[in-house]
Amino acid sequence: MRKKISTVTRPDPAYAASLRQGFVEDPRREEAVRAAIPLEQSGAKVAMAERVQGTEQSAPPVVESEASLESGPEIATPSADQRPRTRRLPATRKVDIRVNALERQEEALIDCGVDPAHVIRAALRRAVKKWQLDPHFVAPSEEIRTRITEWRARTSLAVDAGAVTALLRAHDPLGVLSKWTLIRGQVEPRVWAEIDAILIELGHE
Amino acid sequence: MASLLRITTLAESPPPMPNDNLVVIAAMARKGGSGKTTLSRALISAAVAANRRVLLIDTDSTGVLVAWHRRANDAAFGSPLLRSATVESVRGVDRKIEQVYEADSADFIFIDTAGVGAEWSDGIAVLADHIVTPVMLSTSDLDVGAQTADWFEKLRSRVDDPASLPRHHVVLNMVDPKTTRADAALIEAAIARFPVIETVMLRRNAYKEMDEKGLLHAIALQKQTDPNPLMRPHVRHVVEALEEATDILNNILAG
Repeated sequence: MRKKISTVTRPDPAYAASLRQGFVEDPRREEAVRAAIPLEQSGAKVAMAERVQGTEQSAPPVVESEASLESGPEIATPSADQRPRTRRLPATRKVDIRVNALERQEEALIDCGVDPAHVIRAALRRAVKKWQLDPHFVAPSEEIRTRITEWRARTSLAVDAGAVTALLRAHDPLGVLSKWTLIRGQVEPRVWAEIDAILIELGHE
Repeated sequence: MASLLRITTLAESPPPMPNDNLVVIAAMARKGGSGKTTLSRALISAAVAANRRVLLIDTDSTGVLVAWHRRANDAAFGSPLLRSATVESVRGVDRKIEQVYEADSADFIFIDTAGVGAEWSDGIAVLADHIVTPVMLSTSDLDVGAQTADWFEKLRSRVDDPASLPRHHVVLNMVDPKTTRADAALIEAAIARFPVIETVMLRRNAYKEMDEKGLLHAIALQKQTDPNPLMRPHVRHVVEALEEATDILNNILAG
């Protein structure tokens, strides 16, 4: 006889489906607030920021943002907040990131004739220009980073909220990790590759 | 004549008896990235190395374990003793276990699950003989591990027959071979909180190789017969990992 299979008589009141709902809803709410507030003050800037971070397809038309700027006082009214335009904005979350070069790139960066910090920043810009966050987690690389902290590029990226939510759900259900931890495995290798490419362009492999 | 004898034997052979010794082990944790799949691979390697027939059931939507099995077979690091199946529902898992039990087609079933707590966790838990939860050595990971332990304890009060629930085991994994005082303190904390298995799973390159290639004993055999004599001593690391995994599996079965 196979072992007796118990019958579950009542559901788990604390099972994580309730957590999931929280994670799905909260980023949207946060995003809606984030998108709505700047629209009142500097709508055009927000639209640009979203597009620069690789979401051209679904970004609102620039004309609309410009019109919003021109009619600033009207946009600040509560009725404008309720317009569907915030929904048309791509749902994104802002993630603070810190990137640095690899230890093996140190020498070439010092010898390349350009401020290494500038090279790293340029590499970061190139790396994320057409990049989209993948909802599948990539473990951070174990390659050794340089210890020269002055070179470190710090910025924030607007990434797809849905992908972040999927990553959170799968890898950080309690929300204890930084968002950067969840995405660095995808971003860092691209930046390092771009640093290598820039060094080649500058004639220092 | 020989073939005739074989046919006669086959024709007269009775239907298989159900396998009452079938063991179902489910890797479960309320967190992704805790090492469930790595632990599953290691335990599967240990069972196959001991000449046991194994079915792995992948319920994780990413299908990582089934992909690993396919990769292992393609690279000749698999085994005819190991089969795999992707199942998408608790009912499907139940049916699969029943089929294996009735047909006596495996000695072990390993179920790999997604790293979230969900309603289906209860359903999988009641089907298994053992639940194994990998926990990494950090305060946050211990806290999440405690949630899994807590869920399982509370499950006892939510089933009609708590005695038939599986045993729960916690395996400390990715433990640094050079244990620091902080690690030692965390291990003590883990022992105080969970049903921790004596053998810990160390952070080993052999497990990375297992992920890349396939079963540990197949990797060991390949290294042992490597045409390059300089590569042969490397077999030691893989054998150590296999011994560790076998210890863990024996602890689970004995617990």
